Amino acid sequence: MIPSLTVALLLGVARAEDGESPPAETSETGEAEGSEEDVLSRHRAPFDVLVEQAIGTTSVPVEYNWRRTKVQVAATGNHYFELNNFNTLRAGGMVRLPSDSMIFEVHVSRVWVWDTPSSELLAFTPYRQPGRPSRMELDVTVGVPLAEGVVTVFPRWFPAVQMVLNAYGGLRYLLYPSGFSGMRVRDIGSAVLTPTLSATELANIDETRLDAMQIDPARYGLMAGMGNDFYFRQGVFISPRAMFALPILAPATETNLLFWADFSLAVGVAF
Amino acid sequence: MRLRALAAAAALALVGPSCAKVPIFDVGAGFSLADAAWFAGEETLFVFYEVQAEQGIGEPSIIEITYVTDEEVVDWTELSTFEAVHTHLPVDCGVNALCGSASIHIPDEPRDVELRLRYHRDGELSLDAGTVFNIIDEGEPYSHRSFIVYGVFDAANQRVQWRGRHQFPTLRNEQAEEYGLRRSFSVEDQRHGTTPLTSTVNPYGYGIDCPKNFTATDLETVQTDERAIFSTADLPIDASASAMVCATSTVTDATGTFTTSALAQKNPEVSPAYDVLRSPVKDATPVRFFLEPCDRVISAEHEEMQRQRLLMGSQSTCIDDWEADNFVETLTAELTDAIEAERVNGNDMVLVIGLHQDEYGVSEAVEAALEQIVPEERHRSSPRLAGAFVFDSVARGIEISSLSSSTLWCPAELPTTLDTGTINASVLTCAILADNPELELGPLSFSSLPILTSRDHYLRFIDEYSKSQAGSVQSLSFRTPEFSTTSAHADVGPFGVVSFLDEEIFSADARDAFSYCVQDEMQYFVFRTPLMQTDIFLDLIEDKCEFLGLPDQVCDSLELGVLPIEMLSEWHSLFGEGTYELGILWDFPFLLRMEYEAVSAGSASLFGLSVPFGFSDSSETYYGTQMWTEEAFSLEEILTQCHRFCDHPTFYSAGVYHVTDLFRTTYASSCYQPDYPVLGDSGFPRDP
Repeated sequence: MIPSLTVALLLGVARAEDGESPPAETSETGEAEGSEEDVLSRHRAPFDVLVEQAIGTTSVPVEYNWRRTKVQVAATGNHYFELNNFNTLRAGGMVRLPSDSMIFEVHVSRVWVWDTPSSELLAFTPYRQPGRPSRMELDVTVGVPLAEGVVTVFPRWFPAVQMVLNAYGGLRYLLYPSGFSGMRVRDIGSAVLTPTLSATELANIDETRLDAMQIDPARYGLMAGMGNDFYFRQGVFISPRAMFALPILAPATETNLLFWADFSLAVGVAF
Repeated sequence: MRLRALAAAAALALVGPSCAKVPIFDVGAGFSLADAAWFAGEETLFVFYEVQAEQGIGEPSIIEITYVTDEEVVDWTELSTFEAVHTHLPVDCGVNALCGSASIHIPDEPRDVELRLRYHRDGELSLDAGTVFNIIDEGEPYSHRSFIVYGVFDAANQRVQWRGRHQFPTLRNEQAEEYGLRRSFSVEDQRHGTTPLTSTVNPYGYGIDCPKNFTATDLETVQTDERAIFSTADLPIDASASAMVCATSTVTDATGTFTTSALAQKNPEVSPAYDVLRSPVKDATPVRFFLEPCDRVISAEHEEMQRQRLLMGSQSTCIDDWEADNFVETLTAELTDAIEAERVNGNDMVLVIGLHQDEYGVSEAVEAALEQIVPEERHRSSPRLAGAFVFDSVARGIEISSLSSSTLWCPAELPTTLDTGTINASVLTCAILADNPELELGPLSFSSLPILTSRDHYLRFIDEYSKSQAGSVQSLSFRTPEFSTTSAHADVGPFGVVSFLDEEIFSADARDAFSYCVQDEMQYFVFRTPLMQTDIFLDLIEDKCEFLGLPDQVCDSLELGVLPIEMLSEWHSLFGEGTYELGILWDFPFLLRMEYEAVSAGSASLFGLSVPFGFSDSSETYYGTQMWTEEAFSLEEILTQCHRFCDHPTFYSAGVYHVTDLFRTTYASSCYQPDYPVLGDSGFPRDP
């Protein structure tokens, strides 16, 4: 911010030397302090105005320039908020590739699903609820920085960090490791792009479903959300995020899980 | 602002309903099978079940049973907790199904047997089944036990495959296997002999004591938990004539073991009755004559066309004196001389005559001359004159009926509905329309000319279109069967003939049985027997056939002393004759094969000028049936003969052993193409 402010001040001096009429100089209370001071007063501006002008024109962050990093790796942990009776947690890794205007991400994660007392009781009945068994997930995500800047943190002795507010959108692909067993390579090749699991895959993963679960047939879905990146000067970053499922593909994927959320935290290092 | 508000509303409309909780769904379970059967002789209750659901049936769901006897009340109990009498394999019925079987030792007769599905072994909710329950009291083993043992033979009738077969009131053999039931059985003390042991109520012969006169073998005991197992070795050579093998079989049940006899019947010994009939058809030599008046010219263009069609040179036989009293005799002598001159070359012959004439009576005279030669010659042994082919100048046909079975007279007039009695080969093959059909489109007209047409047609055609569009014959050849000195012939219908060529005979025992396999195409084979040739039989048929209830066609055929081969198996079952002679039915004495170029002619007429044009096309015509082109006729799959064990059951083409379908009665008029078991087959043969 300092170099920018300096530039702004220099620009103001330059405009004064060009003979532009300076603003009336004011005291701290805003009153005029004499004719000599009136000559300078027209060059004066409030500090917050100068700061805002400087932020508005800056193009690079100050505390940590994440755009200049080549790659970022992080460990991630997610908690799913599905509107059914099963518990879901996710853990995995993420690779990020920054650019000037956005950041690309690839996630590989393991998802664990287990019963709740409610789903255990549901299994005693002739009713089942859509859900998804434990699995692997592959995410391809694009993040767009919406706002960024240097922020101080609590406690005060902790150094300031670079904060970036990102909007995210991406595709989440569900991969059931046992789903393709017994299938020919050609059948697998044709199955991986279809939006729903095939009957063979459903039969293969039936053993992994929970007793009260009706396997949701969707193979992939779209996600959107918001999240912050906090970069420390050393390159370490923390990235909390909230993602939401978009039911745009539901007619094709035949999913019964239309809306659900995924809160995650990533901790990583930028190189 | 308004656009933003609309976008926000649309987003809410999309997301709003999506935010609802995920619903729960009924699994939609239902029993598709809930059968139980108690066998008193085995003290065993067999249970078979299958539950289908829309989703979500799995390992936590269980099947429970309840029943009552005079000694105990068994409340709902998980089926798998009972000790199984027999082996029951876990069955995979699919993701959304639960199925299997069980066998429970219950000494006393049970009642109120019910099955139900408990959705979860730890839950309280269940689904009752409409259970089907049957009781089979003690009785004959073949009908009152749940499992019988029988044997079948391989293709060589040398090795026995012993098989087990489930017998349940509501399930078939393979169904019981599919629900996981496995039975153990063993076979020992195999003996061979020939004594009828089976009956209509016990076609497998299970549980009938082996006759003491059966000869023991040293074959080892075999045992299996599958449904079939081969004996460890072939039967000894001295068992070749034996019709069956009887053995001691043992099966397990809740009381221990049950031992009784089991039977293996040999397959019918079947072979082709007659493998191949070699075709005696060979190329015949045409003996050509062109008959025309030498003192005048009728039509040079027509004569040229006739000579071209018959591929004749310029030689002619004058018929100016056709009205002379001795014309027929003279012509007959000329034809005979030519035939005798050619006969020395050893080939069969066909008389080819071009008849260029325009007077009424000439054709009749030529017919009369041919009548003197052709009918008498055609049934001779080779070399002989097989027949005659006459290309006349007018559409006429044959008037002397005795010639119609040996002479092709072209062109002929199309018969009318009133002429059914005069239809012969000439009419069928050479008939032309009264006028050339012509298609006219404005100034254009199109037509085509039959390759063997009359003078009127031809002259009118070339006047309209041109000579070059009348077509031309490229080749002309004749084929005819070569008859040996022992050949015998009989005329069939107006122009067919049956030939018994040269001792195409096969023999049969009275106990033999035949199978005729119906073919898609008509078969030109007949047979005759010594009985058919006797005067008594022929007289009987001539006088009394219609009273025997036989179809007219059969009576007509029997009057000739022959029958179509389709009827051989029935004939043998009625009369059991020992000798059968095969013959071939020819639909004409010779085959005329003509390759020619036909032209679709057209002409454009404008201002009195006619410009002919046409499109040529090579064609080939058989004046006769195409069976003449075959070099051999295979009877291997058409007629099969059973020499031994003809009253035994046998296998179908799908490999299924049909114990109630005996060869003699089942395959008389259907194809016999059995698929026998072979060593190395699965232990679960197809046996519905």
